[in-house]
Amino acid sequence: MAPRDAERAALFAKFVEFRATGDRKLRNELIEAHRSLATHLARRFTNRGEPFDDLLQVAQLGMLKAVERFDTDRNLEFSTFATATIEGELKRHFRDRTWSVRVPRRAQELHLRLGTTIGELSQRLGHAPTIPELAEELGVSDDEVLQAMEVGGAYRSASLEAKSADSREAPVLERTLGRTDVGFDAAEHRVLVDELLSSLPERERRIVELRFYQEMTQTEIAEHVGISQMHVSRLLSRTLAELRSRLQGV
Amino acid sequence: MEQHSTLTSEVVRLTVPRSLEYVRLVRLTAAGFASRLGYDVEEIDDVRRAVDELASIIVETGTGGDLEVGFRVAGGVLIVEGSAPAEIPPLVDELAHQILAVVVSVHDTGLESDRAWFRCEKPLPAGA
Repeated sequence: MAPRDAERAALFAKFVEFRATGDRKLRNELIEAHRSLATHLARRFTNRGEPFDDLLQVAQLGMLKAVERFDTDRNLEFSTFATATIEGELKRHFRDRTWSVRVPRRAQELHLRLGTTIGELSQRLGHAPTIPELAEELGVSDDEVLQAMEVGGAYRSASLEAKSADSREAPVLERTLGRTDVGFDAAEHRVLVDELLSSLPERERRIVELRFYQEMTQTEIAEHVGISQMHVSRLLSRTLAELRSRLQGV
Repeated sequence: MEQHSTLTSEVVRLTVPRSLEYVRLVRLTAAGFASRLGYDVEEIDDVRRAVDELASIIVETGTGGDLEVGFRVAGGVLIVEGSAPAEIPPLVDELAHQILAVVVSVHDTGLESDRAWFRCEKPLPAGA
């Protein structure tokens, strides 16, 4: 057997084993083994006004889904399945963020500058900056800063809205009633959230835990993890939207 | 809890169609109001996240009518209240509770007089 074929056979065996056992260590190995594919696909979506880090984040979540859903019984190459899944996630990411498409290009560009400026000002001032401080530093109005901040958010309303537009389900009220009838109690729901959290990539899970369970500020988390506060904010928004989306799918 | 507290003169009221699409307008207003009060970017992010969670929950609790939201300051805290017609109480899941417990000091929801309502509070920044 040629070395490349042997490698593929070994990977396939891991998929079979993962499907049988659900072993997280195996899952992470499979994600790692295909990291370059996620990076490659994220790069194809650059130059559309979204930071590469964010696209990579979406692509990696897509890879996680692909690994978890890949059915070894189907006569399909994993790379084909993963490409379709990740591209779907990336396209959904752009579609869900129609607000960022509608706002002026200037606001999108300003959003990209905000991350660096917040970091620099936080260091210089010794505290997270206010909107007027940011506006003065960037030479723009307060309103422009606020609008640029909005560009980066992935909010609950946006993900629900996208889902509503997508689905041909019952009207909102009926769905809400249905959900109430299902009657997850608080303890069950907490277990569910914990399970979903544990399925997130390590960094995202850590950031959510630090913010919402250990109540660290975004700046503290940024220092802890070694990324910018703005990046923490974006990752939190994205991860919460992902959690929300998975909760709705349960 | 009293749904409609006595509003001071420093109130901003916003009425939008009951649609998730319009929650972004509520977020922007929340951010603008919070900015005027001197909150920093992180705290504004908190206010916006809280308002987004709560307004979305109220919108999803029923159909028809408008979503009415008020922003005001009283007793050293920012108070955001909102309501829309409904027949059932809002459903706030554990994830939302967890998020809200961290980003605002007080949050509550309920059903009163055929309207689902929310309220949240956040202390004003020091020196405001």
